[in-house]
Amino acid sequence: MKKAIKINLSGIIFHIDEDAYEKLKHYLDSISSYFSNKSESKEIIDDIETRIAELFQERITGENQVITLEIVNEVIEIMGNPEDIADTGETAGESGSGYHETYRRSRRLYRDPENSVIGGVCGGLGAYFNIDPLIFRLLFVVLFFVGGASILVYIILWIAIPRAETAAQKLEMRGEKVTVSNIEKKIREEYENVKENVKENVHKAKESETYKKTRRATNDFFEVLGKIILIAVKVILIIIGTGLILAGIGLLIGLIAGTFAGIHIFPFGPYDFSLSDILSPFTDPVSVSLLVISICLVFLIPIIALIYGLIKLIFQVKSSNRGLAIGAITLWVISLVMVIGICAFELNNYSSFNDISTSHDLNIDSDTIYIAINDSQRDYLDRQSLFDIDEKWYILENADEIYGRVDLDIEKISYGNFSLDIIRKSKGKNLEQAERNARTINYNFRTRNNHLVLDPYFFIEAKDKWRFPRVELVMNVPEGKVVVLDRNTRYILDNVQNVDRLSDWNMAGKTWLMTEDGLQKISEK
Amino acid sequence: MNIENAKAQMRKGILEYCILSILDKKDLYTSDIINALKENDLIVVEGTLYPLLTRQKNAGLLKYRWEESTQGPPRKYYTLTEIGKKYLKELDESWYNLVKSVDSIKNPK
Repeated sequence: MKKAIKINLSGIIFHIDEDAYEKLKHYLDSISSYFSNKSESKEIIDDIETRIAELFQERITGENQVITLEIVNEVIEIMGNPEDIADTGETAGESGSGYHETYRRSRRLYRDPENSVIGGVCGGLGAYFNIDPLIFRLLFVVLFFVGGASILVYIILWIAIPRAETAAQKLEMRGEKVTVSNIEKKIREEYENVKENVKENVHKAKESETYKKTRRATNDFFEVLGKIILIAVKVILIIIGTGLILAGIGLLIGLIAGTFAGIHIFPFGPYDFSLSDILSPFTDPVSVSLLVISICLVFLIPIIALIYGLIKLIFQVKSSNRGLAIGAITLWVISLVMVIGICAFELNNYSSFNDISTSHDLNIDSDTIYIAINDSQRDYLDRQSLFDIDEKWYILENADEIYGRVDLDIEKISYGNFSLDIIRKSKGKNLEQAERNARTINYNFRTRNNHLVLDPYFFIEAKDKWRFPRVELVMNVPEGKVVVLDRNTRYILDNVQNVDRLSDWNMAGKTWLMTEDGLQKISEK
Repeated sequence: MNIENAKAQMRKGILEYCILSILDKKDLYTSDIINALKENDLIVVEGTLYPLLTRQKNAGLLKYRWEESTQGPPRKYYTLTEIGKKYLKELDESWYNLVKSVDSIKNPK
């Protein structure tokens, strides 16, 4: 058993098998799709239909009243395939006034069901003003974040503006002339979209009638439910996505401002300096600029790509710019290579190590020495420090110096007077450079009677760059003499050996005697 | 080079001329034109004729009238217009020249 369809071909009614009908319809549609001039195409199709009707009539005999697939195939063979037909058309020359008859006429505002994210309002507005709907969507979303009123406006528009249902309305929406040929064009476009659904419908037609009815009812219900859920999900996605986009843009502005203008990178964090501030103690201004730019690009390109991707995803922008993508990736790789390259080159400045040692006789007559640190320098650094490296080096805001904490060790000498060794250490490209760098280190101390006041920090000029500078102080104490360590020396004492095995922290603030075995505690004060 | 394709190209070039020539003798409806062309092996598939007729009509070379048919749908009877007749005369001339040229190339004296 086969389902037959009744068709009207040039005013004559034929019964045609469903498969034969599909074939014939497709045949006629594909012929008409070959012709650019629609009014001409209609005439040609009419003529062809008339001829097909004739051929059908010749083939309907007393016992065979239905047009079968074989008959359609036979007729198509006689008429020729669409390419051949179209081919002859072209040799006759391009007649007609051209294809695009898009007369701009007064438009009407409709919601565009074909170009919709939620309700098609923005799509319709876009068609009405002949502007990319994306602009309206962005506007609505941005306004939502600013005031929140745009959602209300959207809903009102959604209710107020009718949906463009028919082809004529869709043409009016775009301001195209509502002519038969334009409607035809529109319908033909839609036919392509619907084509796939046809197969499904044919399949459905085979199902029993009652089953179909119940199915349709449930289908309708779930379809509506599904649509509601889909819209809700879309709205949530848009809000989340837009949030992410705004966050990304914020991060972007923050990064740019932070790196180039020296404004806070992380406005909420404790840090208060720019990338070039961080880098400038380590290398020359040219390298700093190159590094800042490369580091920026390494981070910015993925962020921008992310924002762009989100916008595309949320607003269903269908565009791909291969060149731009390749350019961005290339730039990113170049930046990464630059960062790595500059860092590797800079590391070269730390490959050698050298030190200079100077010894100072402290000229103290007494058997007891009082050692303290210069508290005013400590306070100054606490107040002014911009950031520190490993709590050992301090970089100051707008200062010309980089400060570093000294280490104090106390050692025994068999005879002689109190003396202080100052060992200045630094790294460099080679031994000579390392020594030159060590010479740039400045360190001060002073003595008064039997008091030694040590600066807790040495410093280098900022222009001399940070090359791992260190200063080690060695206090030489002759056997049998006494050292009184002020409480504040705990900041600089570095692993000082003593008989009582006290830690540096606990050694400070006590009185020590240098014995044959090393320092021994003789008083808690 | 495909010989069938070459033949088709040749046929296509003179098809327009042949349609006008057929209609010069007698007003005919589409199927008659098709039959005349088919008898002389000028077309293989019928469909190719319709775009040509429509364009010749739109160019003002042909016009048509409807005639009721006892067997089927009403028929379009095509006839040459005055412009079509002049057009045909020029094509005739060019055709004779062409035949003469081809002939003299094929059989040089």
